[in-house]
Amino acid sequence: MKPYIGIDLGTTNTVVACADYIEDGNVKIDILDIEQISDRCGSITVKKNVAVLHLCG
Amino acid sequence: MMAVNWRALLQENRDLFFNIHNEEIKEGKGYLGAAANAEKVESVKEQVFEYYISDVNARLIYEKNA
Amino acid sequence: MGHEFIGQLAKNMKNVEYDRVIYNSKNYIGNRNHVWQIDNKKYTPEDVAEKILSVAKANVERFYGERVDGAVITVPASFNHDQIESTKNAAKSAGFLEDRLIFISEPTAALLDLIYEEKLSDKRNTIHDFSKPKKVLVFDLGGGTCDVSIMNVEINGDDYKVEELAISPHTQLGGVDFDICGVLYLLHKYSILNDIDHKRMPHHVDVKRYIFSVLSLEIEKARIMFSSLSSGLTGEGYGDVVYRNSLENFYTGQSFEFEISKKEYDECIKPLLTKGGNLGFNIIDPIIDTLNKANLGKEDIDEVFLVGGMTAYSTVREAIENFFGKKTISYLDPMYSVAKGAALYNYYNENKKKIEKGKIIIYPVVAENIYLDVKNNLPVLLVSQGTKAPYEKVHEGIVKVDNATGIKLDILSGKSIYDPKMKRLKSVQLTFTDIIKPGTPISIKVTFDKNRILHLEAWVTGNFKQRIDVTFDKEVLYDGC
Repeated sequence: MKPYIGIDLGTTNTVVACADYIEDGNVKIDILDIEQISDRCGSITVKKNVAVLHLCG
Repeated sequence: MMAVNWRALLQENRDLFFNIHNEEIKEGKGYLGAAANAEKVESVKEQVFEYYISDVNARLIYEKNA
Repeated sequence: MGHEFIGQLAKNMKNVEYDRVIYNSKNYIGNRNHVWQIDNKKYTPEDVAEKILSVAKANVERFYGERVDGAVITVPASFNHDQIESTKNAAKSAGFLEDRLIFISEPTAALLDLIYEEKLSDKRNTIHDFSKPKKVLVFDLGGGTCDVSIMNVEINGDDYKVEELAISPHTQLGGVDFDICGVLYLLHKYSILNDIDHKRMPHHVDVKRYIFSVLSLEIEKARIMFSSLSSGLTGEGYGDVVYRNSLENFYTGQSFEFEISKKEYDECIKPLLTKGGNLGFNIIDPIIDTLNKANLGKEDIDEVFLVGGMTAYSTVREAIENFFGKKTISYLDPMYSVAKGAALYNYYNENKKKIEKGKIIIYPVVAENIYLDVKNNLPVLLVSQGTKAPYEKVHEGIVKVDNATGIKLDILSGKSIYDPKMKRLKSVQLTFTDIIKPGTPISIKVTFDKNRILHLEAWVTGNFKQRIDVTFDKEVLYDGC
């Protein structure tokens, strides 16, 4: 299924929404949870909002 | 420590507490997070253009200074 | 060199590694001279946007199991073309394809979501009737910007037509300013408790970074508590809500036990909510400015729609409602309207050729007058505020050459040529390949695309070979391009 995405690139929060056709000419829009893929510092789950860049020493 | 009567103190010193200035907010925002260098990183090029209108001249001078 | 983190974890680190977190980078996008340096690596606002968009893209792709190369990305209505262009560059670097990117204004996106939600509910009980054309003022107060747009909304069957009538000047006022007001207040309290003047506290700049970072987080927590506990308790005489906490090792090894009540906090943020306050900026001024641009009074506005996380705070909402003298429209969670509206627009835009009904047409406008300034002359108006995009115009012989080898053109934006806040958007240089007689006229072609990105072409009138294309990410001689 092809996603139609909308991104609100905010100052302190970024929100991603996806629109999908359902039926009867209606479109369903979902807010997508965003998570960061695990790395050497461990698995990090980020709920919905991406905000700032942090560099872990 | 929390024995201060804030209600009375706030009423007596409203200006001190609530009269915030633009500069204080600006300064405060500057203390949030990592330090930023807001100075012009390409200042050499910019200065050159202040004095020389020609792109060619400017490039020569920039290369000389770089 | 450490690892980079983007997201809630990074946010949580604000009080631990406060000097290694980049805040509010969107406020600086389009400004190539603003650079953060952490360890030996430099980050521009565009780099930060690229990293955030990369994470967003990777997550969508993982969720749907397929490559995603297009998106509708929202920007403040008042972003100028440099800011939009820089956001676009960040999206391209994150892997999106240029021709599959669309930028629409945040208030417009939020409005699309509102109309759509109302449409969904019309079979049940419509609260706001958009069956007749309406003038809607969208007030968007987010983390760092305050954006006001007035739009004419017309729904014809299943088609939506959204026409921007006027948009506010770029106003950097958001949650962070509300936080700092509270931080300064707590510092006053600390000064009194410890009998010192916080402004004279001798400390290294790093200590100040720590103090401001932890206190701003405390204020944010307090505000969330005030919002959740005080709903329904509004107006004079309501009970107060108090936030209390203790910060260990706050300053010179001492802890700081403090409290702040909602009433105290509301008093702190009053200058931000009051017209003509002593700060020089507040949430009311951009509303008045936008009404003036649209030649409308506040009574001409049919609906006021509140968007952005800060409008969830009751005191902010009351300030707007007091100004208009009526109830506003707001959602339970105004933070998601913009992204939802953007996704909706993406869907309709991609399917517009296939579907007969249900089109969305947006007419964006230019926020402020755009001027051309040539040294020692008064600025010449190129594009008036309110001009609808897309737009194209050729100005034949608009300025004259005063130097045989080239001419420097400054592009400015502002309310009028006497606007004290007039901004220089860009300086460009047209260098002649052959020597030109002083006094020779120069022609300019101005183009605004659907994303409100400005393109200029300048040439020696009657000599098209002697030209420069000043599309802003090419041929710009200042910025190291």
